Amino acid sequence: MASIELTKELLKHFNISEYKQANPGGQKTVFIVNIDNKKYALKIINFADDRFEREVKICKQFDDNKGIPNIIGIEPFEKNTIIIEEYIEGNDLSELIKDYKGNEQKISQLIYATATILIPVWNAKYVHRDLKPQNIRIRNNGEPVVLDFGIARALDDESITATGVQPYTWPFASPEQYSGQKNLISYRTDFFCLGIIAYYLYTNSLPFGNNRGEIYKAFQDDKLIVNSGNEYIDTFCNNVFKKNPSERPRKIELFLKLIEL
Amino acid sequence: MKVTHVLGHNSNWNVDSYLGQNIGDYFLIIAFSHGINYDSKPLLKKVLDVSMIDLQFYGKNTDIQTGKLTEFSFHTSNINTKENTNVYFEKCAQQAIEFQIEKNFKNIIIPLFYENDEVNDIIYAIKTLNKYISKLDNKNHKFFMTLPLANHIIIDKDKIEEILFVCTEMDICFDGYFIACENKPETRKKLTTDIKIFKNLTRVFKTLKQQEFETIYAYANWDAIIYLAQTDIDYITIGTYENLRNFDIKRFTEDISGGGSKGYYFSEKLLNMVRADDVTMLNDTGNINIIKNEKNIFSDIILKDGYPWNIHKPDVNKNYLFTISKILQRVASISDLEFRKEYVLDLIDKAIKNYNYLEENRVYLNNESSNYHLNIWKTYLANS
Ligand SMILES: Nc1ncnc2c1ncn2[C@@H]1O[C@H](COP(=O)(O)OP(=O)(O)OP(=O)(O)O)[C@@H](O)[C@H]1O
Repeated sequence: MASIELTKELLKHFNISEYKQANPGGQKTVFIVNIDNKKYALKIINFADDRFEREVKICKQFDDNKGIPNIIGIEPFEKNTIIIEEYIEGNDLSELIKDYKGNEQKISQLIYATATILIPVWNAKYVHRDLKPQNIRIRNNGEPVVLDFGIARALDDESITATGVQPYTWPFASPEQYSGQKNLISYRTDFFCLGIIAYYLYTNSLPFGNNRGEIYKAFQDDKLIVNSGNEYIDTFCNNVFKKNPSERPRKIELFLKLIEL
Repeated sequence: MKVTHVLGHNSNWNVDSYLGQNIGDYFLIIAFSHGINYDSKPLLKKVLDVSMIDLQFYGKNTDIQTGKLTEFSFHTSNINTKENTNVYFEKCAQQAIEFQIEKNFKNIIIPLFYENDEVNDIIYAIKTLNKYISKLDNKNHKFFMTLPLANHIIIDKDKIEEILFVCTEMDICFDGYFIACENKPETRKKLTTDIKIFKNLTRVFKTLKQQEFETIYAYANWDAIIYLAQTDIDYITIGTYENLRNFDIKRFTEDISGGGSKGYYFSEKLLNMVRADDVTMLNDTGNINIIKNEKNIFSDIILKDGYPWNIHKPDVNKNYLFTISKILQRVASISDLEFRKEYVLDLIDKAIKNYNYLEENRVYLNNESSNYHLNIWKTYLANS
């Protein structure tokens, strides 16, 4: 991981006493920082425009949603945008996948709880569009928290994608994201991604291939059918793994019913 | 599935066959033919409680013949080209909905103005009219949104997905969709043989049904059986004249063309229309039993030697209505979709064999009477 140092100016400006980089960095670099003896997640986005103000406004609507971290502040700094966010104790789901292997009960509960967090978001016509194990944080009591809502949205802006950087992460992206059909992105994109996560947790392997090329090829097929070795997981996955979003569950209630064990 | 008569020119054949021979279950009144006073016509009065009306906003008066459409004050055929079409259309559509509510139609068909047949315009109309219907909050009627699928749309799977995507979004409150599809068969053919259309139209019906919408297949021809073979469809129309079975976006005229034509014999054994002249030839060569519809009084009448064939004869048309409705009902009655498909494949197989038998006996049918469609149907269905 390319380690990035925070400048003295930045540390001083935000009153940071300690920090640790949390991801490899790129368009967005995440640090866990200490301010006044309290932990926060600090996200540096390498551009500054009004996009995030809009996104933050959207996120504010969901401030009382326990499953989405609160945003404490946002401001432009040194040509970047800095977002300071409530720190969520616990682990990334990506660190815990072994605990879920072969455990459909646990997976069902997790996906159900994650979808429940997103209900008001979907109902308000927003889409996360970058759901993946690194973006789901598991509190010590087992409850999930969905990270990066809003950021995924803003990073998916035309002007960025046009530069060739894809904001979504290839292993957990949907067919419409692979084919760049933005007009087909909706809550049903998140349904698909939650299907990939369920499959991945159950088998600890990816459903459609292990690299971009393989997945791209798999998505050329009209019928996407998987076999995880578990009937429940397969029923859920094969109902959401429809290449055409129009064929995926139409109502959130239907989607939730499918996950319920 | 309700077999639905399209009431256009000579509607009495449809109503008579319904009342007399129990053919069909429902009616689709064509605004073009019947106009604003449809409900004072004694004939239509008999079936009003099992009818719906298509107000046919399929074009504006510069590119369509308007028939009786202009009698409806809110009809888009009255459009003045200077007016802003989107706003104007929205108002027209809302008034068309109100009109049908007032007239107490159970099934209300929301017209879709077909000004420029682009996907984005269709999507825009679906969204705006959905908002309007959701505000009405009317539970006494069922609302069907019109999807006029122009040929350039139905042959393009991406355009179809864009439309289905919007039609199936979570806040859509229509009860169903009224689907008309521009098939554009080649000349001297009555049906399309474009496999893209088979695939995409099947997807339209399947997806909407699977998402629990009701579906109406409007202006259907007898190739409706290949769609019905794969999914339930709630209403399928049957029509007498060609233009009632072949939807054309730019032209919705009461075309009773083929004025001089002697007409066609629809054969359940060939799954095709056979030209009157060919029927005579089949009679002369002693092969009529190969194409003859069974237990069908209309067929019995028109196959008699010396029958004065003419496209405007009621029995010629009733033979089609009776035969196709029997086939559709039989297909729809098989609830297991695997069995249903097998049944239809079997019908197609038998028809192909009948064509082969005729050729073995040196009887060759040409143009629309020939087997130009069955092999494609079979290949498509067997692999779908
Ligand atoms: N609010 C938070 N509380 C605790 N940890 C967080 C928080 N936000 C982010 N993190 C940590 O930072 C890590 C990196 O963040 P993230 O997954 O968003 O970055 P990324 O994967 O590099 O970017 P992207 O999601 O855009 O591909 C997360 O996996 C998580 O461990």
